[in-house]
Amino acid sequence: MKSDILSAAISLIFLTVTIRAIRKKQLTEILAILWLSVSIGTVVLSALLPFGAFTAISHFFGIAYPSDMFLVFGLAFVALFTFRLSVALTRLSARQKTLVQELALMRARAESERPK
Amino acid sequence: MTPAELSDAFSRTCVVVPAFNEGRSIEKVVLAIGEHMPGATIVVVNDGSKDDTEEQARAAGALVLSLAVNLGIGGAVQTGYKYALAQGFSFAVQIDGDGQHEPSETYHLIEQLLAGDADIVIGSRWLGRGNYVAPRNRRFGMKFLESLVSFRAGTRFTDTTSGFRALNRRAISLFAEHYPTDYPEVESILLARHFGLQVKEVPVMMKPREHGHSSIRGFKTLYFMVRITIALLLGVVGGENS
Repeated sequence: MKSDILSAAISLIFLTVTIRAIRKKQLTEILAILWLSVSIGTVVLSALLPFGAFTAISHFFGIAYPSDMFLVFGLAFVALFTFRLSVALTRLSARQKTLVQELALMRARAESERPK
Repeated sequence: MTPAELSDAFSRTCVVVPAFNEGRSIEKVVLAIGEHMPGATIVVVNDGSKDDTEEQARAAGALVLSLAVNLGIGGAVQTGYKYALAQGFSFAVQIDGDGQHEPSETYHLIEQLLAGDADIVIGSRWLGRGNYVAPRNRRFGMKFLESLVSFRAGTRFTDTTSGFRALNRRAISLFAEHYPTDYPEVESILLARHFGLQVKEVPVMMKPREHGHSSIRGFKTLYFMVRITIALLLGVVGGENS
């Protein structure tokens, strides 16, 4: 019973943090949608916890222990998400490189055109 | 090659000198280039140095392209090629800012380009000229890369980490567009071959570096080898990051 309250509290805090971040525009739209769904999902799951929903879901996937199901899906989510982030980071650094190069070239041009 | 042909070639050459904290040697390097390649345009790409590289290079008479943040050797060299492309140079020569490469040797590189024998000419330490001795701990790595690149390229290359090279217009356009970021020398050979360019090595003399250390040492050596091996085996070319 205590664990139910704890998980409900944590998921509610998570949801609040997400909403705050979105309102402060700290997340791009797509990431805002993602994290909002994740946090709403955890709130729903923790609300269903007392009714034995986890055991039913994990049995549906053929996983004996509900906690193992969490581990599997949680890890899969984290791995996928960090991979996406790495791809995005690579793209960003490529763009940053191009910008820094363009800036250096433009600065040199501006200096050469400046009246002496 | 007549002296007139050579001096005409130099006047159409952009010398790209990547420099990161080379304040102590850059002036000497620029002056030596000016002496041995009269008429060439010298472009020092200051890769976010913390010392007086920019002032020293400028005082020596080079044009300086200063990067606002450190991009690493690949990004720096590519900036020089972008400049060479935009300014319409026929040739570009890369000479490292640490004084390892002898500007007097560029003659041998340019000669090959003029003859139309290659799009990229790489100065190799290991083809008999000069008596450069690699630091003992590097020999294995260099040998390994050599065989890997030779295997992938289908031609024998002896000095894959040499940053002493000359490019014609075609190669300049390619590298202005695509150039590896981290450790570009080795990978760029395969990149060029992938796009159908002719890459050739000629023997040159090189000096041991005068100041500072190689950018690759300690744990970085391991990272370098793993990174390059993956890049070479998977043949990572093109893409936004190139």
